[in-house]
Amino acid sequence: MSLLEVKDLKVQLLTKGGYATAIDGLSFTLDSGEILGIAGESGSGKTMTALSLLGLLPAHAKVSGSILFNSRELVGLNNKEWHRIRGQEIAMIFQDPMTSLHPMLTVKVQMTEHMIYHLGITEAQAIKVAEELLADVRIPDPGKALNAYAGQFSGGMRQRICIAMALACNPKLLLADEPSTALDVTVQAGILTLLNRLRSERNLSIMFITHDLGVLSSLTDRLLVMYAGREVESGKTKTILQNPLHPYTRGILDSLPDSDSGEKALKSIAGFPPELGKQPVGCAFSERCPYAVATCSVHKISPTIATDNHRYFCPVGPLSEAGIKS
Amino acid sequence: MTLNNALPILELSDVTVKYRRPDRKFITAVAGVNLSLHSGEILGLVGESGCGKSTLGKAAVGILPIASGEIQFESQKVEPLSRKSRPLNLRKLQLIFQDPYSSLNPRRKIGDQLADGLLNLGMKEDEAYEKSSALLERVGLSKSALTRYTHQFSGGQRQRIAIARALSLEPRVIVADEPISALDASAQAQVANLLVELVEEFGMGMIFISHDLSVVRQISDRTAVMYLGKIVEIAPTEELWSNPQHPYTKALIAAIPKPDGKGFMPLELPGDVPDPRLPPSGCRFHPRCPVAISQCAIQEPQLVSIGQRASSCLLINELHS
Amino acid sequence: MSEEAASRKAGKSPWRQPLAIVGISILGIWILLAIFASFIAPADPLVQKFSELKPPNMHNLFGTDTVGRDVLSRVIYGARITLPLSILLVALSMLVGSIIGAIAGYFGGWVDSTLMRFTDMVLAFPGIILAMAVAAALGPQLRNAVLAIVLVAWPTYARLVRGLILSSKNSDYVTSSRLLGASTWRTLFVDLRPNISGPVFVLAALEAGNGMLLLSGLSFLGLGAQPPSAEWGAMVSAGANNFDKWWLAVFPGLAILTAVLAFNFLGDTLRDILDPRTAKALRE
Repeated sequence: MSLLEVKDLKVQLLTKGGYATAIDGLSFTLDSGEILGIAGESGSGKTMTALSLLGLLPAHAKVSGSILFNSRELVGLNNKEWHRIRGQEIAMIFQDPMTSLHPMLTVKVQMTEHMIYHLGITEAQAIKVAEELLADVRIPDPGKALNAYAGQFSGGMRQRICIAMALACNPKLLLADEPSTALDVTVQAGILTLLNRLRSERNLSIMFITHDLGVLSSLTDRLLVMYAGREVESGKTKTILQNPLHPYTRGILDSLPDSDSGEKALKSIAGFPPELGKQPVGCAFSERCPYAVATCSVHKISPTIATDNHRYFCPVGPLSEAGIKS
Repeated sequence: MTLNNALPILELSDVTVKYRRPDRKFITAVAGVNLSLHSGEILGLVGESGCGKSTLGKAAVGILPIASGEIQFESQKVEPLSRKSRPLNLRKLQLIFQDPYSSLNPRRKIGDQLADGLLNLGMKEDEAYEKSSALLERVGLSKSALTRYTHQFSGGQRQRIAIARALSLEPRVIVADEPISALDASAQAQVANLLVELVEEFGMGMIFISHDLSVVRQISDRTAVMYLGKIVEIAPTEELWSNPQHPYTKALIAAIPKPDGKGFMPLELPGDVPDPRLPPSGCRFHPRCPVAISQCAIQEPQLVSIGQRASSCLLINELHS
Repeated sequence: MSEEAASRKAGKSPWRQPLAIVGISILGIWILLAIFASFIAPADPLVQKFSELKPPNMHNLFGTDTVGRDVLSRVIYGARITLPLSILLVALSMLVGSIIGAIAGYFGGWVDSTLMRFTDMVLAFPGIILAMAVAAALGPQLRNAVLAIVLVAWPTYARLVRGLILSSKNSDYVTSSRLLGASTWRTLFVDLRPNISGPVFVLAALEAGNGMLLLSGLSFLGLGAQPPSAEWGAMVSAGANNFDKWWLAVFPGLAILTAVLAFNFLGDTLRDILDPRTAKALRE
């Protein structure tokens, strides 16, 4: 029984032109102690997916499908029920640690507040736990750090504090939305190492959202590639990165700077993703796909399962090792 | 790519840049940097937050005043911007800003902004607008943009307009300060490729400042690595990557995660970047350096050249002397 | 990420807001009345008929005043004095204030400090008192009243313009222009002016009402328009001494009220258009 089972999740948002589908029938699972990567460009729906798991979608959003967390259905919960889940069972860290931490409250207040609320412990107990957590995420001099303010820390340190805050009530699932994108590469390496260690020590499940394939390669066990609100490929990270079967995945791998080619020119996928709500019934990538045929955009695509639970959504067929359609 | 190896077109000698923080303390953002740029080459300048690369870029062009040292452009001294209009010769030294949303005036037509440099030279209006039109086409935008305003364009397009503007006076050197960092993936490739094309076409020199090491690796001929206000290593790009010498360069390269699916964790560099108000004694990197010796805390290493490469590390320099 | 479309067709123009329509209409009416006063006004505003003080009646819709002049005509002709003078007063304050503010903001240093201390000094005086003092010193004449008000009103513009210049002079686009060889003059007039003209005009529209009140106020106190001038403030003053003859003060008072309101509505609309957030909301 997986920790998280998402079946056919559909999220519609209210826009000027009526309801538009932001997430179109997404299904995936996540086990305890597993790190799942969600890859995609901006607008692919990856952040929305995370927000659906916390009930943080806009009030007007229409959600259907099923999200089973610890065998409990999350779709349709009311606000009071979500309060018990957020921060306690499922926690989240965001891209910009500067805006995730309150600039005017001490670290101590920010870390202990929700502990006292969720766990019903006293302030003194909470402070002790907070200090231990800060030590665990390698913040030097945790006692002093508790009395400091967010602005006194570097970006990497702030993100560590956010991670400590997120883990304070021992959640089973941590959602991370581009947590290291805004950080320097050496600092990022520290955050990735930290998350990896926390995963093994606490049997923590992590859903890591980013567009950076390098980061996904180092940290995640499995990968879900999203495009225009839908899955295009999923499976073991190693399998997908070494043998991508969907043209979009191939496209983003090819766009990575490759100095071995000897050329200075950078490659990218031509065109742009469809606007919100304007995806065709068939494959949303078809208009940019070098292998597309006329029928690609017409019929809804069903998944094809290759070996080792490697799944992709392409009616034309898998990309072969040489990157050419078979 | 033909390198004019004779005289560097832009030369920075022992340049130091200081600035005053709101709390009135002075910070040395750039400490005694030597750098030379040749026509036709792209010099990549990389480093992490607080290393001073943007400050160096702005000082090189004259936007920021330097506290000491000298900057020479085409063998003439580069003066910082003052109340007077910029001397004619310095107008061939241009800069492209990071943020495409603030580098163009939102209340003026694109065409007017493109024609600025030419009108300042005394060119007639119709000639100036015709040239602006040609510049727009060169960067891949249509003439219709002349009468539009910046809010009608995307980030990538705005950056291309900014490039067209910088090109209007046929610059010999362009400093590009993180030109693609604020753009989305496809725009990044377009703008970077455009810059590479222009360097080749016009034989300009370019300093490409970025924190994105992979892009710098792809497009630059030489790469300089900065740490806390100093250049720690400079070498032809491929050599820097295949055979980094300075411990910081090694750490930087080792920290980059590779998308090969092998699942190796990038190496973290312990510690934090020191407060620039109080840089470490001796070698600025020594507190975090895995191979530092006691001497490193006392003596500040110089940037010593060995052939086409240079690095500032006591251990390396000793090895080669 | 999709390309930014060219600006969407504006749903409802911000000018179609009720406040804007009312404001423009009222001002429009007054301007028309002022221009065509000689055709519209039923009587000559200066012709006196002694002892014919009459309340509003069929012949004189607004009644007559103590010396028999038709109040309606005087109110209409009054627009010819108050409106252009208010606009002139605003234009002059705007000009003087903007120049001082721009110099202070752009050049900074001791120039800025000196000019700003001077500005602060003027601002420290209560407006009407200072205006009264100047007008009294110069002599009770409409022209001097205008001068006095300009002297009192310019600091607000100076502060605004200085602030706007300070916040824009170091922006990247100004720096780029300077790299391309722009002179100080060009930077101020070509690059920075578009950023300040919007907020300055908004301020002007909002201040116009204020200026009009000050002008009428000074005339009320006898320091502005002199008899037999049909200036609204002076008319109210004359009427204030004859409270039972309510029509003498009420009609010119209403004229002032409507004109000031109209300017305020206009100012609010301009401000909404200029503020990008409300402008966006208005378009949707």
